Amino acid sequence: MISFILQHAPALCLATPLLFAFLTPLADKAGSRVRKAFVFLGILLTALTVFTLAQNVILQGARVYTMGASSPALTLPSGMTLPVRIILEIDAFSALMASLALLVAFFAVVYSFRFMKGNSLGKFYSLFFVMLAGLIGLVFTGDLFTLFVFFEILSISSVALVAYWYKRKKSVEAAFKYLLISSVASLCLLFSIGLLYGEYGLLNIAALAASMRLSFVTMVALGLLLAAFSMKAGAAPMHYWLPDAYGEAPTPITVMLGIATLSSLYALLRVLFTLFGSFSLLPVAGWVLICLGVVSMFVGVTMALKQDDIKRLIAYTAVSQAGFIFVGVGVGLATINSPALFSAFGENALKGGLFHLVNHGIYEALLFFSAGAVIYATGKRRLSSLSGLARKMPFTTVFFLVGAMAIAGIPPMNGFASKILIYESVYRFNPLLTVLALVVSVLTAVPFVKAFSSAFLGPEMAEFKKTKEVPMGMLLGMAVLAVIAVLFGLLPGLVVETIIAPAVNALASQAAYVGVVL
Amino acid sequence: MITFSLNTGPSAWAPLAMAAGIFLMLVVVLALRFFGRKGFRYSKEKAMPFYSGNTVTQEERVRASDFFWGFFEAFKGYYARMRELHSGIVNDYVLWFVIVASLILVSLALGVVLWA
Repeated sequence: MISFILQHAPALCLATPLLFAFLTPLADKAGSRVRKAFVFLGILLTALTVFTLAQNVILQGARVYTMGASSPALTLPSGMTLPVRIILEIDAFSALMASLALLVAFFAVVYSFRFMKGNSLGKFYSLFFVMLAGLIGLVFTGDLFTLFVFFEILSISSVALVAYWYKRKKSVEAAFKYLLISSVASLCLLFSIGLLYGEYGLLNIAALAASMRLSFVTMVALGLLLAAFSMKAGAAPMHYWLPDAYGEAPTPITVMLGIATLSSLYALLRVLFTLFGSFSLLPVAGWVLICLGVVSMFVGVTMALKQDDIKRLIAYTAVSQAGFIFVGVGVGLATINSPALFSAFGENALKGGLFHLVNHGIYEALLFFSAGAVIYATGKRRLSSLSGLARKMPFTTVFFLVGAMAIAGIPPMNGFASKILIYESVYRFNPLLTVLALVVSVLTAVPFVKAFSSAFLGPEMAEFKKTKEVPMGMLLGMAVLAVIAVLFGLLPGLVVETIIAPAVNALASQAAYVGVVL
Repeated sequence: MITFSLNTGPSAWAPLAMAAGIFLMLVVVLALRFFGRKGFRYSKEKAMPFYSGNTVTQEERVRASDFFWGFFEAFKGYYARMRELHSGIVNDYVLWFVIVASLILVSLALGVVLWA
C-alpha cells in the first residue's frame, strides 16, 4: 500500500484535492459538522501525500511521473525520441514549494473553520481545493502547456475566492482587477508558449531546455514570461493589484494568495533557471530581477507606512519582501554563467533568496492570520479605530509581534537569517544593493511599530470592553507558524543545509533536471 | 551532524549564542527584580498609560494616522506622486505591465547586441 502511494504520489497529490473539490458540496448537504470533517480529511490527506513525496524526493532525488504511460517512469514512449505525454517532474525545489504551500493551506483550513461564518460554505471549500490543485499542479508540472492550464486553474479559483463576499462592493472590485491582471499574465504566458512551440515543436520543459538556442522568437518569449510571472509575483511597478486582492479576500484566502504569489515566483525561477538555463542572456535577466527587486523593496515599504488598513499594510510589506527575494535570486541568476562567481557568492545569494521565500511564506501567513484575528474579534480593520487590544487578545498580540519581528529582520527571527545571507552575498556582487536592502529592512520595522502600537498598545477602548481572544482553532495555526519562525531563526544552518541547499542545487543544475526526463 | 550556525560566505551567524545572551540578560533582570520592593501590589492603575502625568483617554490616544507625521511631511511630494500612481484604475495597472514588459524586451535586445 505504502509503495503504491509512493509510486503514484505525484498524481495523488493532484487527484486528492480535485476529488475533494467535487465531493465537498455533497458533504455540505449533510450539515456543517460533516462538511468540516470532510474538508479536514481532504486537506490532511493532501498534506500527508505531499510531505511524503517531498521527503522521498529530498532523500532519493528528483522524480518523474508520466500520465497515461504503462509505467510512470516511462517518459519516452517506444520509438519516440522526445517526450509527448504530460509529465510531472518533482525535484527538491518543487518539493520545497509544495510543502510550504501545504503547510500554510492546512492551517488556513483549520483557521477558516471558525473564521468563515454561514451555513453554506460548500462552494468556498470546493474552490479552495481547486485552488490547491492548481497550486500543486503549477509546482509539479514538467511541461509548459500544463503549466499554463494549472496557472489558469489557480487564477480563476483565486478570483472567485477573492470575490467570495460578493455583497461587499470592494471585494468584487478587487476580484475584477485580479481577474484582469491574471488574464493579461495568462495571455502572455500562452503567447510565449505558442512562440516556443512554433520555434522548437516542443512543450516539455526538459526537452525544450535541451534544444534552446538564442533567436529573436526565443528572446521575445523569455521577455514576456519574465514580465508576466513578475507581475503575478507582485513585483513593483506591476504590484497594484496585490493590496486590493489581499486586502479584500477572506483572511484564509489572503494567506493562500500569498502562497499563490510565491508559486508565480517559483514558475518564474523554473523558467529562468531550468528552461533558459543555458542561455547567454541570463545575466541580463538577472539584472532585470535585481532592478524589479529594488523598486519593489522601496515602493512596498514606503506605501506600507501610509496604510491605515491592517491587511493592506501587510500586503504592501509583502511587495517589499518579494523585492528581497528578487534581489537574492537575481544575483544568483546574474552569476550562474560564471562558475567562479557563482560558487564565490552567487550560490549563497540564491540560497538567501530561496530561504527568504520560505520564511516570507511563513511570517506573511502568521501576520495575516493575526490581522484576521483582530478583524474577527473587533469587526474593524482600520488601525486608527483600534487600541489596547493586548489586554483582550494576549496570544494574538504575541503572535503578531513574532511575525512583525520576523518580517523586519530582527535577530534571532527567521527573517534575519535569510536577510543576512542575502546581504553578505549580494555585497560581494554590488555593495550598493546591500546598502539599499539594509535601509529597506530598517524601514520595514516602521509600519509594524505603527500597527503594533496603535492596535495592541495604548488605552483600552470602551467599544472593545467585551472583545475576547479568538477561538483555539484560529490560534493553532498562528502558534505553529510562530514556533516555526523562531526555530528557523535559531537553527538557520540546519534549515539551509537540509531543505534550501538541495532546492538550490536542483534549480541551478539544468542538466540534472533534463537528465531525469531525457 | 547538526549545524548550529549559518555560513554566510565571508562570515557566520550563530543565533543560538545570541539566544543564550538574551537568556542570560533575562536571568539578570529577574535577579534584579527579586531584590526589588517586596510590598509591591499590582493594580490596574499602575499599568495605565500616562502623558505628562495625565491619564490617556480613548480620545487622546496616539492614532495610527498620527504616527511619523514628520516623515510624511518631509516626503510630501513623493507621497503625492505615489498616490497619483496608485490610482485604482485597472487600465493604469495594465499600462504599467506594458511599460515593464517593453523595458524588459529592450534590455534583452541590448544584451544580445552587447554579447554578440
